[in-house]
Amino acid sequence: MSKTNLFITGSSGAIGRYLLGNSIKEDYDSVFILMRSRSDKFDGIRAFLKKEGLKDQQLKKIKIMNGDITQDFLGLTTKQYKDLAKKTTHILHCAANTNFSLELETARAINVGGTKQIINLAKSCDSIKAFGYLSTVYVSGKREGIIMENDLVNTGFINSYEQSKFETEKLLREQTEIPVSVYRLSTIVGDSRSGFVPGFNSVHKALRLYFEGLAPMVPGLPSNPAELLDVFYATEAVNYLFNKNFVSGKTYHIVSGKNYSYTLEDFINETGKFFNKHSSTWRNKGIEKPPIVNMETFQLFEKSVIEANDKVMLGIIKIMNYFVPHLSLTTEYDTSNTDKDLGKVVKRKHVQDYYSDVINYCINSKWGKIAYETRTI
Amino acid sequence: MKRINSTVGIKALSYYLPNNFKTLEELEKDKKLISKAKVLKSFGFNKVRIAKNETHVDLAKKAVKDLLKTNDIDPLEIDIVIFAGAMNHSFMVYEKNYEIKNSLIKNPMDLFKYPASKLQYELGISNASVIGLGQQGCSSLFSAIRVGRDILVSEDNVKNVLCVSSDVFPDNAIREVVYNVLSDGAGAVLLTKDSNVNKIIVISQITKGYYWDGDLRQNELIASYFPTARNIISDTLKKADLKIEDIDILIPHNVSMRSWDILLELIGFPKKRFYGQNIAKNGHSIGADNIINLKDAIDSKIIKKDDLVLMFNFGFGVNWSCIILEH
Repeated sequence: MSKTNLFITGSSGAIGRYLLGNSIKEDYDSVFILMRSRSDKFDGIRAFLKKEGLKDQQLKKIKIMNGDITQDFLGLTTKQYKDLAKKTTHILHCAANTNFSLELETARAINVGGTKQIINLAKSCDSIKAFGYLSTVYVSGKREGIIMENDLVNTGFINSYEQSKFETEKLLREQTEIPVSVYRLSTIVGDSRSGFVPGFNSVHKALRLYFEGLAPMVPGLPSNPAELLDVFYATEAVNYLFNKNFVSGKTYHIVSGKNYSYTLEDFINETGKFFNKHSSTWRNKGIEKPPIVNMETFQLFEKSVIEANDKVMLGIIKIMNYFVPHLSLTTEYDTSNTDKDLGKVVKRKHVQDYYSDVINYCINSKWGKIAYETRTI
Repeated sequence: MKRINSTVGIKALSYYLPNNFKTLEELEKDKKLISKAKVLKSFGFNKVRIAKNETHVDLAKKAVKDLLKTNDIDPLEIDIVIFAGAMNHSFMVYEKNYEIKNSLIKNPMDLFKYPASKLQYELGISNASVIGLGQQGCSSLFSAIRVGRDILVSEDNVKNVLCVSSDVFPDNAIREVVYNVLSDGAGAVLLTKDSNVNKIIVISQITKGYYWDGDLRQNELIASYFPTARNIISDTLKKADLKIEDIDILIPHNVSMRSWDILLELIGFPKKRFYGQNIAKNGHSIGADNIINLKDAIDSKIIKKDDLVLMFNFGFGVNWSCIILEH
């Protein structure tokens, strides 16, 4: 049987390292990863993989290459690049800058520009069998209603991240000679097994505002689902679809969905309940939960903050504006492709089953600033 | 919970505002504002009242004198005087242009001269005992009404309680606090047992001591103001077995109209039943706003007999307070 080798990008990222761990367990001969700096970041990855139960023998599959996805030939030497192209049979492209506050051109340079370089690699490969791309459901931007997995429609975007991911998907759809499958994830909240938070994103920033008593109000509809995703489920799903049931040309929505989510109102209530549970200091402060308001009221408050030029409040509103408009949109992500090709292979958990653990982790790790050991998985 | 059946009510009310006023532009010129005048104007303010050669005790006296005269009340019938001040120096008797001076340390007796006693004497309210009430910020008069009501309910021999609030800003002080512009002023109410007007149905108060340093926690205060206000209004209505739709008129404290636009949306109360007429005219008269607004609304017949009136107030400390009356 001919060897298969995986090239995975973004393996130091919040989701990429889970997928790296999953991929090592598959039948790849080697797993190539690209790192800008060889030593320091890999120590963190190694520690994570060992916690996930991987043995030293398994980790030997990992071949680290010093490079940069935004550069031509990935910043590798000619020999390294040719060697990589020769050996690589599978590409899982997870690398992206997920910072919502980037200027659009900067987001494009990394997310679109980086993908162009990976596409070039794929085209140079002797025999590319699968190209998996990690995307986001929020390529739907400001669209409302049911979003089908095959939809890729531009009706405006809330931040530069989702626009750059949209443009990347458009680019990938043009690559007819490469077998591409796209995995769109919603917002990761934590690991359902332990509450561990692999990366603190916009949702955690908003939760932190609430925790610190700085969230004045939340625009949205109380009955809308608060779409929060379990990283364990998400990466198990992506791993299965990419490594075990790859279908070229398909896009998958990997989400919790309304049946496994809190409503926005419940999300805010439960958050307060768990803050109370996990922090006596918080309990003593008597911080009120932020009310859910319509967008007009939120914008009136925002207008007042701008006129008053209150710098702290302006910063808070800025953080919220990168994603809160989504809370006012009534959007449902169709999962027909995922349901069909994933089936019940990977079990989804309702967020209520692990959200308390996530909040506990957030508080005890001081919102990601210090190490906090979760219970053993 | 059933509506509390109390017959304690506000039999009479009055206020005094200094005739002297300044516009926002004049305050800005005098460097007495933090924000730009045009910003505060867009928030709904226009003028403030400033005491000239009058102390807070002078203002209080005028408010009480007017109350007694207009309502033909014999001062000897008042059993208790509760003086409520928002600011720390409101609990002292001092001359105009008050500043904390080292001379106070030289003569410690100056630290024990109280407005409540001075009013009791100078207004001939000789049968009344006095109470000073503070640490409530702009909610001080509401707390005075609460204490007065409770005394009337619990002590048979007490028939009339006079509650007075009066504050004058020091001459050298900035007249803006958290985007609100402040006036000097005094308000007075006479609470009686068996009142047939302005019956107090319910009084509620929430204190959140975490925000005791309003300066340090200003942004957290701003964030907490709206949800806590909504909650106390909701809880107060529930206590009274009422819904927001049952309220005929909302009498505010004069924080910015902009913040009221937001809060009215939050609580689902129509602006046409909100008495905001004095915000631009008077600014925020610290503890006296609600009484000034209530009296003006009654005098202009906006409030009719049997109307349910909700009064809301917020004071540093911090405290959110709510009173529901039946006129």
